[in-house]
Amino acid sequence: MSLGTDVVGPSGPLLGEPAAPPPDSVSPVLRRRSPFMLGLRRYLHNWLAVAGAIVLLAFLVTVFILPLFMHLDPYAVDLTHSRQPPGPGHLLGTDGTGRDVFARLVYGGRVSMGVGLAAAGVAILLGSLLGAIAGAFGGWLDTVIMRAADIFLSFPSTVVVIVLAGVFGPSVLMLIVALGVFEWPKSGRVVRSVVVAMREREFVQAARAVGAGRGWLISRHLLPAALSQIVVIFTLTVANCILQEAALSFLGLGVQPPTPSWGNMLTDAQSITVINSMPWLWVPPGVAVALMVLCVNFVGDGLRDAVDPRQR
Amino acid sequence: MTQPLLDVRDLAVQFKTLDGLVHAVDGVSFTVAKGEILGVVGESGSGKSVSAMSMLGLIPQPPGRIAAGSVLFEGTDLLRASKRRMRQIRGEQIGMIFQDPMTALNPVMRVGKQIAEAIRTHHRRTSADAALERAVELLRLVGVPQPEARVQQYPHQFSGGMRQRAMIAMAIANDPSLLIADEPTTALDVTIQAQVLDMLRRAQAETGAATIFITHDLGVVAELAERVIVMYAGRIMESGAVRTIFANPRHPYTVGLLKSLPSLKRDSQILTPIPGNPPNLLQPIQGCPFQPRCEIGRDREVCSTTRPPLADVAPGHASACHFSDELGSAAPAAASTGVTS
Repeated sequence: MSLGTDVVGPSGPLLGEPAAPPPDSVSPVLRRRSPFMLGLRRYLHNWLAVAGAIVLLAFLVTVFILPLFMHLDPYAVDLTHSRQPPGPGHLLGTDGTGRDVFARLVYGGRVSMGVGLAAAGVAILLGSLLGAIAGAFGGWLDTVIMRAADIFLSFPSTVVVIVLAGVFGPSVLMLIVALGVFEWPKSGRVVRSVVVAMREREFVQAARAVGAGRGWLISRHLLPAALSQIVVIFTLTVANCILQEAALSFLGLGVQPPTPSWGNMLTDAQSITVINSMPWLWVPPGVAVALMVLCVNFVGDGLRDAVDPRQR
Repeated sequence: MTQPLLDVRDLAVQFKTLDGLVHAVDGVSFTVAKGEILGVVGESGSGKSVSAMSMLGLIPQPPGRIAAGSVLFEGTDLLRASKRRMRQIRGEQIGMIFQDPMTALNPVMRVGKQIAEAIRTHHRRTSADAALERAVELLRLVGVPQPEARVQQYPHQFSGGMRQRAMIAMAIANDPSLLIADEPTTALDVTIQAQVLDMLRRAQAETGAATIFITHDLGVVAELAERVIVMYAGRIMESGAVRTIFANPRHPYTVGLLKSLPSLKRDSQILTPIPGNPPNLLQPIQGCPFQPRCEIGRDREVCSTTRPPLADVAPGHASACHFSDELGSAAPAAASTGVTS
């Protein structure tokens, strides 16, 4: 979609119908807006989505850009200042080995969000590709792919990741691959259903009649039709992957200390004393995970409403 | 006659349904010469569209199945050609115009891009800009005003006639030698129909493409086509030059069709419909499919037991009726006029 204005000069007498103006527009001048602008406007009307985007952006800036300008060392151990409450020296206090909680929160965010985004990316890529192939080709290929999806959905992924962690040793890469591989069936199913519905549409037949092959049909007609759903599922998958990463790291099977992640920071909250008397150790990462997931979901909902061409 | 551009022989297409096998097209043979306009008429379900779609390999298989026959197009059998070859032929050598321009254009893709697609699938090296320029040119050719602005619009911003013009532009984008128009005017209102037909005729003249024009409108056929095929229940009932068929039909079904048309010449206020319904194609038909509705053959044994072959009754005029002589007697002289060979 381009940002260019789609203004078509005063229509000639032969050019009939102007595009129906958006119902909420009271502007006396009929202007054609590009689909991008229409989508943006719909997005901006959804205040939850806007708030979500702002908070998300703040998170991203803090986590990825702030360390470039501010000296933060998540690994510096200072046993003389362990378990200090939040104060001037340490914004969010220090943990059991005297490491700065704020620094660990920021660097942990890098890992957590990085894992979430990467795993969701793997899942969406796999899902879109396999779903589109299943839908476009049909037949036995469809059956094989979709039954594989069913198998993946029927496995308790946490258990499998625990086994994988045991076999290969827990690592960030293993986590990304494992989460991605277990999250693909959801997007795969949705993409397949959209593609199947589109495949029999006459414009797809028409595209075949002008000589389009399967790959062309998938990339030009079938996948774009599923794009709005893909975007939404991507955001929801990001949220889910962040949660999963937190859970697995909490159990000690994901990101391994000393590398910080929101999940393994929460591990400290396993002891009653920490929960009771040292909330700065577990409230920040807990809030970060919850807020992050919430924001990503709001943005996903907003995008769904904004992108859906059927609402145009 | 020299080698025909398209030579369809004994084409048979079946569909597997829950109720059984539907014999949608049952032994259809015809040829199309270079640059010729062939009309294919018949009522709904007579196998016109299925014949055309199966020529391009656009029948979904399964449930469809091409049971028999061959379709020779410039020496290639389209029914046995590789997928790769078929992709080359579709759009490059054979252009197709669909019935409903409302659904045959992708609603979320700019019209120019869709026309450009027809070019770019065959000429991968053409840049997007060059293809778009060609799209503008094509839209101008088919009479869309302000084509530079129109290529940037979406199908919903086009009127029905305009969309059908865009479809025609897509079909002729690569200068095909054969155009298949599947009821291109059925979804349009009458005034637009005339414009689009005119456009089609000009596009046809411009590109010199032979055209198979599928319709259920006899008036359109009379106006546009040189030769016509009358189809019924998946078979060809009669074929010949348009003037001959209109002046001197030699098949009772054609006679019935012509009688059911309103005419300025006839004084009668009442149209004569053909009684009955088309046969159920689930059962193979032994004799003539039109026999139960036919005035001539209804009570004759041979019509219900023996399939009448499509036999020449005059040069270039063939009828699939056992008793075509009984119909021809009225105006025997007219049979030889207007026949091109």
